[in-house]
Amino acid sequence: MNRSNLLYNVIAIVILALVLFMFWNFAASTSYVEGKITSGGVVIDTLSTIYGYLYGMIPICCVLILFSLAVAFYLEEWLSHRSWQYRIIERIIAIFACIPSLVYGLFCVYFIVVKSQQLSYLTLTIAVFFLVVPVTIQTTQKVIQGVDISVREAAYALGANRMRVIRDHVIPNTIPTILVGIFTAISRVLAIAALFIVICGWKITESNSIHSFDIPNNVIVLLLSALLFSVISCLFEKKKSF
Amino acid sequence: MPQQNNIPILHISELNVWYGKNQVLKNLTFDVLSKQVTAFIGPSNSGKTTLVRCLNRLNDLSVDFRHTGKILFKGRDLYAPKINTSEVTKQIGMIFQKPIPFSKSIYDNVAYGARMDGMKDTIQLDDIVEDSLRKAHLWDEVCDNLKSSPDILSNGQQQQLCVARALAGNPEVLIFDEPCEQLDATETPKLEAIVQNLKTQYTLIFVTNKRRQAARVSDVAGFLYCGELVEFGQTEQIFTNPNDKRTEDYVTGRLG
Repeated sequence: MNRSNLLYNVIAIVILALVLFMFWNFAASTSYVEGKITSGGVVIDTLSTIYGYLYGMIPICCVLILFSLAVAFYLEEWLSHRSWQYRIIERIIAIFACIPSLVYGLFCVYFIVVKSQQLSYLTLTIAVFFLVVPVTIQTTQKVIQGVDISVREAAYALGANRMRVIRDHVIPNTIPTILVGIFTAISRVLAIAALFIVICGWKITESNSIHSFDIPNNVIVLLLSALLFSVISCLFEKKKSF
Repeated sequence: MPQQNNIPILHISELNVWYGKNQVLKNLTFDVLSKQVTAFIGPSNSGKTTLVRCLNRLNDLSVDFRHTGKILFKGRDLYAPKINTSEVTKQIGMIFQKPIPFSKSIYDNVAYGARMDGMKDTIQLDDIVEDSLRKAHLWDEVCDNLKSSPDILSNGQQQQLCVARALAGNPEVLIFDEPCEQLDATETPKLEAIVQNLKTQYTLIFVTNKRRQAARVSDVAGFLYCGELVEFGQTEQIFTNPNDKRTEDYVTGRLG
């Protein structure tokens, strides 16, 4: 590893540590309380609140996916691969993407359920951000890099500008693989959401001195949905054009 | 001897090109006259492709690319800061070594340039597609399969389709960068015939490392060696009475 690569990796790791530290502080100190687990009779309401939040996360998830795609296209199509900005962003994304989703899930559960017992869209958005954005950006980047340079050159030689090349050649050639990345990311989110509900349920059961806890049906639905999205992403992977 | 037209459409002066620290073109100066075939010959890695990629600014895609000197197209500096690169590439089309049809139908491939200019009228588009395919000697073979994928075409036909696609954009200069490199012996003469027919309407630049092909198709030829334009002149003179020993060695097969 040369010195500049080492430097970029160190910078990326420092930024990762800072983000985790901020997340810790945020989750521990926020005063916004919603669906707090208190006493008997609140169990069902609390789970309903969690479900409400999870449904509310769907549009946020869509926005995060679009954001990821925009970042990936910006990095690959506009930013020079030799620029320091590209190198740092690429390394940060690589680090966040390689962390297993279970780790994010456990962090999420620990900070939200165990430590702060608080739930808000902001905390969930942060969790989903780390689950969705790095993986989607990385998948999209790789597939954009895979577009045959000769196709781009042929289009440029006909007078196409950058936007035209992206619209006519890059997007049509990359959509199947981009969808694979998106479905994989959604599958990760659903699986973690299921884990989150199960642990919340246990916590609620424990705080109300209830000794039996049935896994809610929605958890099964979420896990099945995660499985379905994984299968769809595999199908797309097999059908992708290159 | 073809009729000579002495209007230079491209004027290249003191062109130096680097990729990173590696200088690949050294102080090139020459004119390309309109409605002629200008061939560039030379062994591999002599800078032929780099030269023609400078002419339609495709080298801009390379991060390492750096140049000095001037390239004037009809008197306008191609590398002037405010020049519209898309306009340049539209007027200076290019055919590559490998046929690169887009993942669209034959019709949509040819209509690509016209549609990019905002043309939507189907009758006009039909005319452009037919005219371009006729100029590329491909109309008779594909007129019943215009909506088919170019995958049904042979390698040579795909290259003809790329010629038709470039012609549909109505360029003034058409660059052929070793277009026969991946064609077989039966397909190469077809492409050479297309080049001969097109030179009455377009300015053609033909890059090849096949000496005989350059002698057959071109009116003017330049010999590039290690990034240097060793000799530039009438094809007949270059091949029969070269001024430079290296040119003589190359055309007689002793070099490269």
